[in-house]
Amino acid sequence: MSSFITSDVEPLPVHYEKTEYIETDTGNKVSRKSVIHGSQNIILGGKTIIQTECMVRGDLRRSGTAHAVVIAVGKYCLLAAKSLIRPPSKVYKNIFSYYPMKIGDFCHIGEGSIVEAAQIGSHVRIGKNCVIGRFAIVKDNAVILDNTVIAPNCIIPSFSVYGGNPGVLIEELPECWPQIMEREAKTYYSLFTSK
Amino acid sequence: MSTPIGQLPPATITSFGAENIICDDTEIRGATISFGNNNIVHPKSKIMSVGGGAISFGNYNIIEEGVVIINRTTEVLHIGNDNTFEVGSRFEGLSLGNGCVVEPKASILPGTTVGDNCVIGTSCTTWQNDVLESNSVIFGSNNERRKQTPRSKEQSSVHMKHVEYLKDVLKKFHAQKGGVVQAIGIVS
Repeated sequence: MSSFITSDVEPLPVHYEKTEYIETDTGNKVSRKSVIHGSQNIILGGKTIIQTECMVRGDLRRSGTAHAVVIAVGKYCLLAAKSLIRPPSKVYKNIFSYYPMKIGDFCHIGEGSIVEAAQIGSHVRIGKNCVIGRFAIVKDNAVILDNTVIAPNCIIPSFSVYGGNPGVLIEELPECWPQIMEREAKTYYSLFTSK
Repeated sequence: MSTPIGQLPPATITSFGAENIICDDTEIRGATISFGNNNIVHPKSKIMSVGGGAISFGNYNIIEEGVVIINRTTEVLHIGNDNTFEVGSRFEGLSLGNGCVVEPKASILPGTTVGDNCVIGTSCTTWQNDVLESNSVIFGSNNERRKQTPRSKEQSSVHMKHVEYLKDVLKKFHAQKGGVVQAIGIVS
């Protein structure tokens, strides 16, 4: 496996100002400097971190239904600084609508990335400054390298590493990837502590 | 930049038509910024006139979050109708035609003139002082260019539906920008 997928260095604790983050009962850590619209339509699975200046558009919802979940995020996820999560939209049978978006567990979304996918599976690592196009589906256990552009409606298969603009298959991941990503996500959460 | 962004005065926003949805959380600074009708400005976007010239938008434009539109000259920056500025794009050109799509993280460098029905792909950039003819597409990591067929009716109707939808949804969730001067006039 290439050396740019995992690092050999022990991860260091990441400290944040105690006043900057809100910690919920379920262990979610949400930065006060993040911009979250429509928070009643967003579900965080627990022990998820939303960092500074991250923007989550929960207001772009399907019209009509009374209480809809627009963005559902799993547990131990990381939405890094300056990233943007918004649901995808399309015209279906002559009606324009935004569709709900689901992110699985143990997902890390890197800094500055724009994610407009329909679904992101579990154990996915998305690098920095990526653009995941509309209605893309990233299956479980995938890695999207830094600065990748994934075209709209793309389906990223499991255990694959995609990179480049346009995103193409670079290499494949080992079968132990879910365990690696799960350990990485849990370690990150445990090291993300207040000063 | 001539003036630091933070010191630019808030702009006079003139709305020439009905139904412009300009969210409150936007940074609109500098000279006079005028809108036609049915424009949508998502929160966290920036429309600024650093050089002093005005910026005038046509109708049915969608400006999504994180978009930065800067006018560095002293002349008016004309942006036409039916354009979509997708998330995180950057426009610093001289003018934009109708029906263009500026995809996420794209950059249009200073001095560029963009025609009608152009697509500037994700993370792509133009040159400085570039001229993009109508119906051109910039794509890929090497900013390759090609031409596309003129805009179809279906594409325009999709865009209209998007604008209508956003008008309803954004009004419910976001406060609108105050101090928008409603003028009666024709956007050229």
